[in-house]
Parts: sequence; C-alpha cells; structure tokens
Amino acid sequence: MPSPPLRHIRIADVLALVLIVAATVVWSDAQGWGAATLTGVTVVLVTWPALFIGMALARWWRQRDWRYVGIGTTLFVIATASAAIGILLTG
Amino acid sequence: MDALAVSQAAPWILLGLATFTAMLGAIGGIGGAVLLVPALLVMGWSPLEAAPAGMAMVAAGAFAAVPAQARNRTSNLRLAAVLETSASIGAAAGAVLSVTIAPTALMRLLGVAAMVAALAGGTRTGQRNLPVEGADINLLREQPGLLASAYIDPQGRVVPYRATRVPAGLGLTWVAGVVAGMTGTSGGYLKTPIMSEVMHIPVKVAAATTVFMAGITASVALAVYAGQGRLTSAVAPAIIGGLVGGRLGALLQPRLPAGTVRQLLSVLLMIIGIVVVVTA
Repeated sequence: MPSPPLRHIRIADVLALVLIVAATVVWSDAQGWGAATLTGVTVVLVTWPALFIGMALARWWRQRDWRYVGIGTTLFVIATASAAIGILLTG
Repeated sequence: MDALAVSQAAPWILLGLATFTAMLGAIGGIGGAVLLVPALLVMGWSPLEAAPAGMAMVAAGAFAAVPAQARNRTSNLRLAAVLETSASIGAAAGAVLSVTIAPTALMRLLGVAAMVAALAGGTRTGQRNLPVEGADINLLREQPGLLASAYIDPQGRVVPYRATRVPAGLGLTWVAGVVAGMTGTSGGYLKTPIMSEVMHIPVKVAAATTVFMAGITASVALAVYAGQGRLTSAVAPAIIGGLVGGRLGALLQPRLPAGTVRQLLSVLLMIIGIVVVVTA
C-alpha cells in the first residue's frame, strides 16, 4: 500500500497520461472539443507546481520546520503574484 | 517538398523536437526552451508563437518528470524552494530591466558563462559526494532545517550530500533569475551548473531540482501567455512531446552514471552557449 505522498504521485502519473490524451484532442480538435480541452490542459499545467509546493509545505508543517514553511510560502506568494501582475500588465 | 507539405509536417517536427529536448532537459537539468525556441525560429515560427510553445514544453516536461524524480529522491524540494525564491525575485527584477536594457550584451556574456560552466563540468573528474555502504536513506533524506539529503546511485548505494556556499548559490541564482526575466527563458541552463559546481550538489540532484524549478517558472509564464490569448492548439504537439520526453528522461537519468550525466550536461551547455551567443 503506497504511503499518502506516494499515492499523490501515482495520481500525478495518471494525470500525465490523461494530459497526453487531452493534448491529442486539442491537436486534432476532435468533435470540436479542442478549445475547451486546451483550457483544461492549461489549467493543469499552470497549477501543478502549486500542488507540489502545497504537499511540501504540509510535510514541513508536520515536521515543525518553520524556516522552510516560511520559504515555501514566500515562493508560493511570489509565483502567484508574478503570474497575476504579468496578466494584469500584458493581458 | 511544397509549402503545404511543410506546414502539414510542422506539428510532427515540433512533436519530435519537443520530445527530444524535454528528454535532454529532464536528464541534464535544463528547461529545454533555450534549445527548442531557436529551432522553431529557424523553422519559420514567429517569436510570439515560439515562446509559448517552448514554455508549454517545459511545463509539460516538468509535470511528467517531477513525480518520478520525487519518487526516486533525486529532486530536492527544500533546495528548490530556497533557490527558486531567489530566482523569482531576480526574474521580477529582470522583467522590469528588460524594458530599459537591451539584453544583447548580457545574453552574450551568459552564453560565454554557459560555455565556461560546460568546460568546468566536462573537465572535472572524480565524484565529490561518495556513496556510503549500508546507509539507510530514510535516516539521511529530508533533514529538517538543512539543505542536506541523499539519493540512490545506479548501484543501489546511498549517496548523502549537503549544500555548500549557500549565499553564493543564492546570489548566482538571483542573477540566473534576472536573465530568465530579461530573456523569457526558465534559466535552467544556469541553475544546474550553479548547484553542481558552486554548491557541490550531486549533478543528478541538481538536474532534477532544476527541472522542478523550471516547471514553476514555466507555469507562471504559461499563465501570462494564456491571459494574453497566445496559447493556441499549435502548442499541443509541444505539450505531448514534453510529457513523453520528460517521462523518458526521468526514467533514464537514474540508470546513468553521474559522470555520464555531467558530460551530457557539459555538451548541452556548450551547445546552448553557442546558440545564445549566436542568436543574441
């Protein structure tokens, strides 16, 4: 039985396969689903690092490793703010 | 071959190029966009189209590689969080500077820096972090409060390591972030040699950690491109190639000796250095 973190990683493996199928749908525009599927693929590719950072933050929180909880939170805030500012300034 | 045939073949060429560069990226710890984007420009893509395709490939490659690299413990998330925080601050500064400073001279300088890093890594012999027979990786990995951990080499031995010269690494990673912000790349080709040659992180760990860092940078860039409406179905082959190549690279890297990975990284850095200097 995989431990909880490994279970999440197995989910990421399955999601990678789903993403290949979805990107193929985008490529072929099967049944006219290309644009909607591209939106879904983009959401996954944009948000997956947040999942990994979140998992790491939860682990460091459990370990009471406050220095890295602070660093990880700072990284999360900077990355989110960078994306938001970039969209606001150039979108 | 007529123009129609070329345009019909273009997605398949993009698929092949993205698969190859994502695989090299996952093995050697470069984002890969710095190789893919110039190739697309040569094929006639406009920079406005090529940049999103490059970043989509990097994000997809990292998405496929990071779970495997986290599982085999070559990716160090503490190290990634520390260095990417510094790089992100540098990237923000670089994005601001890019409006006022022409990046040509900086690009040439960094192309030369990539070549110097290639020579430094390629000519170095021996192994800094040696395996410890009979060590338990569960006792050595993920040490709270420390940038120290361990990974398993191809012979199944545990190799402990600890980051050295952290302030220098932070400063240089900030510079790599400035470059990434100025040039619209992930800067991975600078981050891996900084970790390996300055901070004495094992090259496989440096490469896998850079893949995760490049994934963060690429996901932020993708969000911006999506907001600009620049992500179209044309990037789909780059995403598929990134996913397949990233996974292949992550599966291959643990089976390769550290020296082979270092030599491959050196060759890639030399190619990137030449590409960067020529295209600057």
